[in-house]
Amino acid sequence: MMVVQMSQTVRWSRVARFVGRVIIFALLLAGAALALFPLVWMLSTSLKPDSEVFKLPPSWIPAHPRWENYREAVTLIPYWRYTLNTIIITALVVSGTVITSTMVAYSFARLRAPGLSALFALALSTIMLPTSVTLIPTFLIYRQLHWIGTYLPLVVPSWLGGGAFNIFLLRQFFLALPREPEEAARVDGAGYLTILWRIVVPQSIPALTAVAIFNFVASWNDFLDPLIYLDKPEQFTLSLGINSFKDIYFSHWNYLMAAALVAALPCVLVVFFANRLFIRGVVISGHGQ
Amino acid sequence: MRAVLERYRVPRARALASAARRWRARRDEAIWAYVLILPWLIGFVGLTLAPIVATLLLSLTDYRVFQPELTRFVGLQNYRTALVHDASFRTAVRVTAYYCALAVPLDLIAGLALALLLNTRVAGVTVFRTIYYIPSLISGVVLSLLFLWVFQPQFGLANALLEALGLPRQQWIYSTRLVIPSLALMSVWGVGRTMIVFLAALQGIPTELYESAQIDGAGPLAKLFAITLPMISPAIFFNLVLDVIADLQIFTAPFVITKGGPAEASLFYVLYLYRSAFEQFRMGYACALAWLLFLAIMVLTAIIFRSGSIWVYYEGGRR
Amino acid sequence: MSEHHLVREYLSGRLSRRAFLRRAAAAGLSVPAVSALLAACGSNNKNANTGNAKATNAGASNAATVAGGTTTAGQRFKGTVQILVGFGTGNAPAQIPVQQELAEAYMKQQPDVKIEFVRVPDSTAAQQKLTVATAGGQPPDVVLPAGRYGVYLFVDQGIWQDLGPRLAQSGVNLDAYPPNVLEAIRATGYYPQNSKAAIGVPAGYHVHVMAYNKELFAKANVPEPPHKWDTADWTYEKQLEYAKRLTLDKNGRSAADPGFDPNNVVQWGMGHFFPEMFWHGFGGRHYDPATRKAQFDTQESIGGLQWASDLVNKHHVLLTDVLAKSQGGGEGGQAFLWTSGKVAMIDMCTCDFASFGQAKDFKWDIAAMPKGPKRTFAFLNVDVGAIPRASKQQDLAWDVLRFFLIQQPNASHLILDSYGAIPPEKGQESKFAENIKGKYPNLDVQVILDAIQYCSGANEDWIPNYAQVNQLTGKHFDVIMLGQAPADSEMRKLQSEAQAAIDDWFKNNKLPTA
Repeated sequence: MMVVQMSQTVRWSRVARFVGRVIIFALLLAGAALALFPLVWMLSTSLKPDSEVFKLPPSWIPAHPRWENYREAVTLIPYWRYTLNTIIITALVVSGTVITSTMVAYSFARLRAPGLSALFALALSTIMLPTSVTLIPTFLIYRQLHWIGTYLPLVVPSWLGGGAFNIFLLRQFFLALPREPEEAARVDGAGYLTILWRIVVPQSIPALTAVAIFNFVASWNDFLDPLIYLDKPEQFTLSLGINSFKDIYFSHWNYLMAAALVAALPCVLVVFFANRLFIRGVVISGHGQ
Repeated sequence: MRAVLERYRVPRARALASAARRWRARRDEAIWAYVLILPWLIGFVGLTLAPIVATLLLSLTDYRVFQPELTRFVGLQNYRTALVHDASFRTAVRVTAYYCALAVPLDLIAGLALALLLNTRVAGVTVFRTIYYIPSLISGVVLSLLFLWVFQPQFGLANALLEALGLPRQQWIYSTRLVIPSLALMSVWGVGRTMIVFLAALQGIPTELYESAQIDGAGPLAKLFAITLPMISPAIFFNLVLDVIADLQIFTAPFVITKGGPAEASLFYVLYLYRSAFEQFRMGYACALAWLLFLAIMVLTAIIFRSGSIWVYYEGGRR
Repeated sequence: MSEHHLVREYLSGRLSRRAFLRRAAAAGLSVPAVSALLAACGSNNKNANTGNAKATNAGASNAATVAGGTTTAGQRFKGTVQILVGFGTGNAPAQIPVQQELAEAYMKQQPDVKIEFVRVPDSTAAQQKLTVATAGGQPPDVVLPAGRYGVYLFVDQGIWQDLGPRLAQSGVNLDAYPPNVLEAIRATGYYPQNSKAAIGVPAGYHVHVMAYNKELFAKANVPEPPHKWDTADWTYEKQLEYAKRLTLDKNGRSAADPGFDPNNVVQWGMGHFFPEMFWHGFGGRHYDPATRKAQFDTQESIGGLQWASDLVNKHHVLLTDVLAKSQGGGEGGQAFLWTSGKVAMIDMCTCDFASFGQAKDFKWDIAAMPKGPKRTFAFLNVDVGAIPRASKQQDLAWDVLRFFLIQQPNASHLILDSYGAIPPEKGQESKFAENIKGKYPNLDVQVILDAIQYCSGANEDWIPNYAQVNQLTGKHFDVIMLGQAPADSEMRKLQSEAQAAIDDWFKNNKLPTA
């Protein structure tokens, strides 16, 4: 009797789980439509000829999709030059951030030293000051260093700790890790760098991936710093280049959208491949549902 | 006698030796701690602290951006003007606080809900993860321009949706009443970062916890509140602090979309600050505004940190 | 493509110079013939009365220079000149070749000089760049072209070099420029009335006219508005009367009929009109430099704003500005409804042909703006080229600016073919009108030529605390136009706030004595 009841329960719960998964899938699908509609709109606008961009009511599917818009958008401005510049800057920024913020966050999370917690509070507080105001004093400092007109103001800060945001994020993650493996390694005489590299980092792949993604996107899309610090058009980044289709009298939305979409592609690819790292991270730590 | 002394001396020597060892270990730890944070320390002192101190000093003057030689020291006058005399300042504070009260919970709940959904073994979950992160990849300016279309009263998507549901059309960002909620709604498209952080945190919860809860007969809601939320509380804490800090400083969307209107109904704090600095060239006043914001954020963050000791649970033990 | 087509495409900016040369060659034209064509396009002013216009045979020499004339007699310069572009137009891909061309021509004559264009996406970015760079000690040497508003923001910061003396010395005949346009460079109010100070050199202007949909007028049996400016009975009241008959709800009732449903309007009599126009037409203004008092609470100012508000909220004939804001940069929302034939009358700028001018589905024409109780007022957009005082190459920067904006045929070539604006020198506006006529043969371009007398940039005149007062104005005008408050009380509020800002300015600043 009990056995029969048990298998019935098992079957029901399997059905319930399946139905649950279907509901979740449906929800995710609906949400995906909402999440993607901006992209769909950008795509649709990017394919419209000038005359159709301002048609009323606006159409989702352009009557005569104009794929030449893409060719024109990337030839009217030195698009590939800008892309190369942006790649160089972003690669430097991401590597610098991941490496230095890991070191700093580990210290704040695990190590003790006089004055360390005060410094961390100080680090956190730097996120809270709006950048518009520190813009001019910062510019003056860079001018003293003769860094204006170079990539240095854009790249160097990421090699100096990568910013309080990343430090804060990694510190939280490191704090959540079990201490035992690290303490055991300490007892065995391992140095702090070894512990960091061999024990902490492998457990933090999801978090490190997150940091990499965030900083990739932030650097790729950054507009204000390239605007202020770069002077020569051959140094410009994509974000500056894309906006050049805006004019005070008539903005070419179709070119702008085409350029913006092409510019967003690398970010999408990075996120997609980074997702693999999430999964691998899951496998290593044996967690997850 | 010798024996008695021996009995005390050896353990004491050993105690001293181990105390020395411990002291050396702590000294090594302190040295390493500072070595590891050295990059940040250099950057902080050179590139961060100096400008911050500069803005503090500037806030006590009426700094002339283009004619620095005419600058005069005015003490706390800028602060007094802001807090007592300036009606736009009060508007800015009100507008920004209202926005945060809407946007922060919206972001946390949406981010957590999505992360929970995406942490399941549903078909195509990797693809979905990418899809949900994509909107936050679109540059803020482009997204803002898109939402100008969405909120178009005449033929925008938002009103089209309302009409399809049989609801009355709204003025959205052109209504003094709805402009803030509209912008808060728009901020949901930036949920990617929050979602990713929650996802990473969820991945770190050991499955054994759920298994044992299952055996104890816990249902999904109980599992959520008893296991999931406490285990990811550091991530909730992180997202909460960052959301508050970021939303109090929101700039791009109001700058591109509403420009503070209609009739100053969306005059966000940093927008007002930016205007004071770059359009009215009242740099000293702008610095004072920045420091007032800074103080407000510090106080709020301190409150959140304090409360954190009650509800945040760190597996690693210490604070 | 025929030669005629090629030239037209080139002049309208749709063809770059390189493309023009390529296709001309493909069309079998020889190099001398092409350069002659280019010279003919460029040097359209054979009677240049500027000092050093040596009519170089640009046609006979190689096609690389269209620019004629020389630099300041014999003087050699050395250095790099940075030109900041982005305060107004000038960065669209089609506009860049002409600017490059002039830069190259100058560098050919001054081999030790390098001209660099620093291009930023929009006027906000330009403002930021100018502010940070100047405060940091590395300002651009020239800002060109810059809209009046952007330039005036910086006037009381002492950022612009006073080019008055240089203009006087250059021998340019400023009497040949329309007085309304010259107003833009005088910053009257900051500088005394009738001073010879100049914060820039005019770099083209645009006038506003009224465009109307002929078919909607015909359908409603309304007589077309007059094309002649300052016609006796073409007043605001008349315009309102027409607008009422031209505003229809979904049941076909006009705003003049009883039972009109203002919540379901499908066609508007008026669109894209701004309260500032009516404000000035009623005789209102914002500031009197003599008394240093704001003028928002005068009967004229209040009357003008109330009229504008009533157009929207009482008579329901004016399509609100809400739609105009729907696309950052450009007039997207209003343009939609105009080009789809839903609006009968609009305020159209000669800079709006790329958007409003694209109405292809119906017949339309342009007419004069109606007269207000005190004057006929239409907007005037003026661009200037300016030199920051902090630039380290004052003389060189001036020479470059002179080469671009005063030297003919460079100036007209730049303004017509790159900026697409009306060159300020008398006689040049006909070239602009010809271009328009070429593209829009059905328009009465005489309206454009007559407009300059009645167009004014008064709404952008200098006022102490320029940015703040303008923002306050915007805020209160919004409230009035949204119908949230009557003009009377709101304008009085604006007056007290604006006056406080003005008084504050005088407490901390002084007017220049020049």
